[in-house]
Amino acid sequence: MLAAEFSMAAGFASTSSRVGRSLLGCLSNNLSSVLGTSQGIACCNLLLQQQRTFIQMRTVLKVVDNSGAKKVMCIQALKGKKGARLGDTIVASVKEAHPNGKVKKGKVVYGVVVRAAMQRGRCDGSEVKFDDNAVVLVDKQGQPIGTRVFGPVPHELRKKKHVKILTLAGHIA
Amino acid sequence: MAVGTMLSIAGTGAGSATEFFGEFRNLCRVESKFRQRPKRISVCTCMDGNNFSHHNCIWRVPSTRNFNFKTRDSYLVMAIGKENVSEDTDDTYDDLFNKFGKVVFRRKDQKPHSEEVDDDAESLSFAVAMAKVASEVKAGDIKVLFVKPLVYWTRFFIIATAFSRPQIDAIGSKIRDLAEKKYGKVPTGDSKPNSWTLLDFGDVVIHIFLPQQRAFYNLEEFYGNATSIELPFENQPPFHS
Repeated sequence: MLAAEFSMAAGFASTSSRVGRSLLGCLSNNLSSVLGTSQGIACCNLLLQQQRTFIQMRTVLKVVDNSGAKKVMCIQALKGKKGARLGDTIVASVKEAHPNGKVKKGKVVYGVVVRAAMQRGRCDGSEVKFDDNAVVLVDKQGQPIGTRVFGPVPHELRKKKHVKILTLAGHIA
Repeated sequence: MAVGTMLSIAGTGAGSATEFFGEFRNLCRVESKFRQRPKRISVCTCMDGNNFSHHNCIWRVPSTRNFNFKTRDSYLVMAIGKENVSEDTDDTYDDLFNKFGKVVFRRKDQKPHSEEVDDDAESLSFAVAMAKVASEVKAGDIKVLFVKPLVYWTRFFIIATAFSRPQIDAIGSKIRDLAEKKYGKVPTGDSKPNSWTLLDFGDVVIHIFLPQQRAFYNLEEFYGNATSIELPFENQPPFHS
């Protein structure tokens, strides 16, 4: 089941350093005894949450249009040194495809990231993150290869000049 | 399936509150959670569109979301019932109904009906002017669709067919010039002419297709629920010998 989560940027998160879940899980018990209970719980929450990061080489993404592909693996994020985020374009290789579709397995395609597990800040201070990484295949000029887009797409695409994907989408987050 | 169920909630008895919820529970399979700021109670909607049945609802802190479907007659927002409603929320709703009457949530930044119509009329005149320009350049099969009830990020769609790339270029540049001169609007859109060129003027989005792209993407079918606006000039037929 997929769900999207919006959360206010927590002041705690911005000040403290982010830590991986597995590393400090054992320390959480100590922390909760050292600090007060409420702070301990907040600490616990932070440590137990996964740290989501950019979409980079070897990331497998789901394809959410009807172009024929099912899964692609990112080869290159076109903008950004660390990787691609929500709304960016990537170069990907098709790893899994429907038998009769417009793209075949092994093809190198461009894609626009429409859902990302890493949160992205919005101008009003809220953040948006999804449960999965999803991409819509486009050609080099930015025209979508498929004709419909499934699932929710965020509003960030409008700013990034991907209004075509917004028009083909049925639900906009 | 159209989601536009509208309630004119005026002067119904408190006893029918639970009935409404029962109806809505059957209508929408929505699971919503409240992530609220302390000031507002937010209700989430899930559009029961074509391929959405396997997704849960999106929760968000509401900023500019338009909850109004078909607000032509009233500006009261409907409350959409939830699937797994607990006893507490039922009681809360009952309390709210008793306290405030039937309006549970009214958007504060909502304009009164007359202002909304004015805004729409402005965008409508802009859209019709653009469509006129397109027809002057001999674009085919121009359609203006009023998509505000379906889509919240824009008001009107203009769909036109151009028969060659230079013609797409010409239509695009004429529309841009007129918009800039007369209305002062600059479109965000493609700079290079593509087989599908899009010009985004905020509340009006213009799509210019080549004939085969128009058939391929078939936007009229996708937005079939939108009302079409009558154009005061004659349309060119899409195919000519």
